[in-house]
Amino acid sequence: MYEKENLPVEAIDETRREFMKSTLAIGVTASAAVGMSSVFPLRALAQDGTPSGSIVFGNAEPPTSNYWDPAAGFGLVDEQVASLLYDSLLAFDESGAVRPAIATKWEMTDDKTVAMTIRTDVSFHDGTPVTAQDIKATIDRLGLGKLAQSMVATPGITVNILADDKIEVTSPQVFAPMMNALAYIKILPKVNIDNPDNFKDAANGSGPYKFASYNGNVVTLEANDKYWRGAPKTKTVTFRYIEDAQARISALLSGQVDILTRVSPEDLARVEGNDDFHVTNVSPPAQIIAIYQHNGPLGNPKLRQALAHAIDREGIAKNIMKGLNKVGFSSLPTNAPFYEEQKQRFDYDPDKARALVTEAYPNGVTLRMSTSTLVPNQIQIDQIIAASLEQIGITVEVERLEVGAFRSSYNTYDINLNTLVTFDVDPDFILGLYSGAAGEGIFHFNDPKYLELLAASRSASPENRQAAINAAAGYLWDNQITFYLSDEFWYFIVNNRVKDYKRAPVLGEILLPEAHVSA
Amino acid sequence: MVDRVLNVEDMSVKYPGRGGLITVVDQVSLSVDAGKSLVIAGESGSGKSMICQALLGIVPGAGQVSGTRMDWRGKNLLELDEAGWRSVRGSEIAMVFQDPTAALNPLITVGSQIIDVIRTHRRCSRSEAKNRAIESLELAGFSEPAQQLRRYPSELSGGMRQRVAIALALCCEPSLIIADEATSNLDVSIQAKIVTLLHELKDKLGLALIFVTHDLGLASEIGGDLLVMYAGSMVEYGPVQSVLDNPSHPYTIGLLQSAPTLHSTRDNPLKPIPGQPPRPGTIGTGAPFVERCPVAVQGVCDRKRPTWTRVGAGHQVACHRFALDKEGGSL
Amino acid sequence: MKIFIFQRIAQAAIIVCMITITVFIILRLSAGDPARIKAPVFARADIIEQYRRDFGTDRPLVEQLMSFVTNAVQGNLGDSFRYQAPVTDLIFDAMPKTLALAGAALLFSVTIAIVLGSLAAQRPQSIWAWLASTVALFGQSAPVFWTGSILVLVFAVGLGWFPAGGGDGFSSIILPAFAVMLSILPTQLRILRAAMERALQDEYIRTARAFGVSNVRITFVYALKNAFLPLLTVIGLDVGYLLGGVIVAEVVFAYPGIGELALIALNSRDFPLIQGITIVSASIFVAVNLAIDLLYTALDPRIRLEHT
Repeated sequence: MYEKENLPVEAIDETRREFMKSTLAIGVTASAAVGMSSVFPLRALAQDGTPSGSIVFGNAEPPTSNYWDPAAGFGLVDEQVASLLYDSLLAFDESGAVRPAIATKWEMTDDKTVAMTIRTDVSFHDGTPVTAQDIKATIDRLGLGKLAQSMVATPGITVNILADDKIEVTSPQVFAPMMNALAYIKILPKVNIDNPDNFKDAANGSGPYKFASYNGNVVTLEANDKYWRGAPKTKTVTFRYIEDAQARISALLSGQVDILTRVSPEDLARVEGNDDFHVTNVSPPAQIIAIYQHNGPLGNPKLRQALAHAIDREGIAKNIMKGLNKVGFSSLPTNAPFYEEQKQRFDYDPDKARALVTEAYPNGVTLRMSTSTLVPNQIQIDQIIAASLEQIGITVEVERLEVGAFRSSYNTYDINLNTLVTFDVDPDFILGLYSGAAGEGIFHFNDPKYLELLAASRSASPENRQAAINAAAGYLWDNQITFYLSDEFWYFIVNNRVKDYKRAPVLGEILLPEAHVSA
Repeated sequence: MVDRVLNVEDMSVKYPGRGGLITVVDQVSLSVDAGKSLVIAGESGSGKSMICQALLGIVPGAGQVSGTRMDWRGKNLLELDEAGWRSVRGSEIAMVFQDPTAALNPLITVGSQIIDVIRTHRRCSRSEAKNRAIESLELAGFSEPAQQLRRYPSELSGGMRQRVAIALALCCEPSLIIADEATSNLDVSIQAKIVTLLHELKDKLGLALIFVTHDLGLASEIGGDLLVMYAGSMVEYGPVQSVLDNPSHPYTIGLLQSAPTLHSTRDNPLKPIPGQPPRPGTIGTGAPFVERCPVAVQGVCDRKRPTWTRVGAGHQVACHRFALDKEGGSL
Repeated sequence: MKIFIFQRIAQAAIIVCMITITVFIILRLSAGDPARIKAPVFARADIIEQYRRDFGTDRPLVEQLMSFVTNAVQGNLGDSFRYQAPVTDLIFDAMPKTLALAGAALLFSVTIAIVLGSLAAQRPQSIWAWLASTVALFGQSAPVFWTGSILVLVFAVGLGWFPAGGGDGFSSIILPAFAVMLSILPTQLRILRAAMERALQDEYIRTARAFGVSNVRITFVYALKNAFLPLLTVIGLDVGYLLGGVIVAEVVFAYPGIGELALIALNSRDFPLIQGITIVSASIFVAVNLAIDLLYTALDPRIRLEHT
């Protein structure tokens, strides 16, 4: 179900050559095409057994804070760092399936409870052992619902300690994505949970890497030689924030950065045909949507369907996104588990769209749209969307906002682009956004019929889950609750000196301990 | 025994112009002896400042100096390179400029400016140079010389600035001081003091002095020889007293009549010379003064350059009238 | 003199206060909610509300202003929303890097302006004069992000002589400093050259020549002392430009200075951090200009006379 292999650079679409040309228009870039992977050739000297060398990540966003509580943050870098500093009860593999971690065995004792056997030989970086008490404190806190990542858990989730190596995780209600949540939640020392100020100084986890330093925009981690799975292969891992797109690709090309995360089509064009780099696109289920507000004209399903027919999604994906993102036929990203194509296709058909608009609003209708630079190529895409809507007789008032203003006020406009990403792989995360306070806050959407379908998907037995999720996702799609533009694949460019670099379909880098570097 | 420190023959200064070289100073010959003085007089633009600058090798821009000889104490100034010139400037020949306000660097203290010049020419420590600077200031008439060192030119009066300029000129014990209109910008009372000072220094230190002025009245106070310049050419040359008592060139006579003196009264009013001096490069083949000359002889003065005629002991004039008189009047 | 300095410091303090309060109010009135920006689009309303409580942005504006002023007077600029660390710590981490970058750029620029400008003024027909005109024209027309990108491509990506970005050590300052230098050099070069041309025609230069002072000394001591004064004024203005202009270079070269910090702070509506950066930057600007005024009076005795 997931794209697992590392795509060779050459496999990327021919059409991107144009991009290369325009990017290279500055004129002096002949030199850039020469691969310069060895500015610091002595950085890595791989030896057997002990961790060696270093891997540097280049990110387009900085860590959100130096408050090292993974449950309090949402950011990419926070998640990258946390995925290496901390352990979870379970872990994701390359395909997004869960595998053992601190929990060695588990069993659903009823539809709300899972019993687990846990390791007793795991220690935090400061030497104290990871105990059932720490696990209980971590999960119970999320169950109280006050933290950012409580959204991944379910209200009231709690742990009962049965023995030093036996625990029971219970949810007050049926919670189908329980295993994914347990693979996502990072186990923290109870002492820090009791004294949250400890999170301000440094991070103390039990993961394969230890916190070394945080300096403005650079987070550095060191290998945990005593890691219970065995020491990671690379000694130092650094996450660097580089604000400017040009500076990011330059850092990669000059060898300052080994792995560039979430790159643009332009970046891909720059390494096209370059033997020093390869590309991976294993990404968390993520999608680009145009968020509708249901308290305005878009509360009318006919108008929403009209929009679905009016906008050429395939055209946008091909011409603007350069074919990097798939266009799906459901309300979930195509790489989400349980994704299934729906029967209704809402093909591009302006005539049909025009008829639907006339039917819904015979006297015409005006939509307010805000645009910014949050989504890649957002302004271009929004221009096309606005023009498409004008073409079917809808008046569109477009307002261009600075990113911060855009993010603060998106739900006061009828329509605007945004991205949704799944934290724990399970599609329940996305489906849940259309319900309750989230649905109200994001879409002004509250539909009792959908809530029933969602509840059914959550309480479905494993064998019925596919059908139940498809019913909920299909309801959102058929009613075009919002505009599902395309997936958002995460492309990473990797310097070939990094060997065995793999990604799981999550935000973090949990598979990085296997990666090593050559000289 | 006469020590002739400077002997210049047929020195010219020319500038490249549109139609070839333009002559600014035309074949000037002069000499000065140690302990003696030479006054160069003339209107502004007569080339007297240019002569001074030529003597120091600092004619501005693309000016070219040529001549038969420019002997300075055994050296031929015409053959000096830049380094040779630098060792002469300030050290052997020093200059006092017309406007002390402009001539002194406003951002550097009096002391530093003098010490800098001393240390450019003399190998000595800063404190030795400082002592030497104090001595110079004392020679230039400051009663509290040490206190002047730390002052800036802007903190001094015009007369004091000119004394600083003189101290600067004296600091390396030169053999010749050229005072280029050194008193023209000063009040009359201060003017007299500066002239007296220069006169005294000349006698006391055995200096040769070239004193450039547009005011013939000052010439008698300086003494020595007098050279009258007009439009880049010499017109009269001789001992000051002889020239003043017996001015021979019509221009010298005009200059004396136009100068305010104690004798100017209502009955004996100033008589400015009518007209303007010719611009360089516009002088014809005749006498330079011909166009303004009240006694010019048509067909003679406008055709031919006058040659030198002796009119007294060491007193010569470049005027056709004297040549005609001597030769009995036929041309 | 003392009264003069005191007056200027008092003036400066008032200016900084006014800037600070203006920034405080403009930030609060501008679009953008720091809590919403910190949380992703799908964050629950109660989590966003919690952020607002943490930040104190749920309190009335006057109350926020009062507590900000009270703390600021005691030297406490508050905690950054985004970094959850004291604003003063963040600024004192980043500011030295920016000052080093700006200082290096200024040093390069002033040195080149003096040497090239003086040579060009002294020899108007020479290659130096041509070079000075060309450099001035090029620097004038090339924006920092463009020269910066070119420098990265050639010297970091292509030749690998310098790092493409980052703030580790001296070598990472060279390229950004060079790019910033190119943007301030043209004005400095033209001003110094013109001032030098004027100064070389001044009579005290003729005096110096008449006293045998060497050409090098005349140019770089006698004339430069005078020509430097107009340059000093330009430098004062450049400091203001540099505090803003290094932002571009810091972004292009991923240099972790105050400019990059300011950009992050702005993007995340990190009010305390923006306010802190504004206060510190404004203070530095005012202090540098005060220092330049004092330097002026120290270098030019004529100005000192007018004040006493």
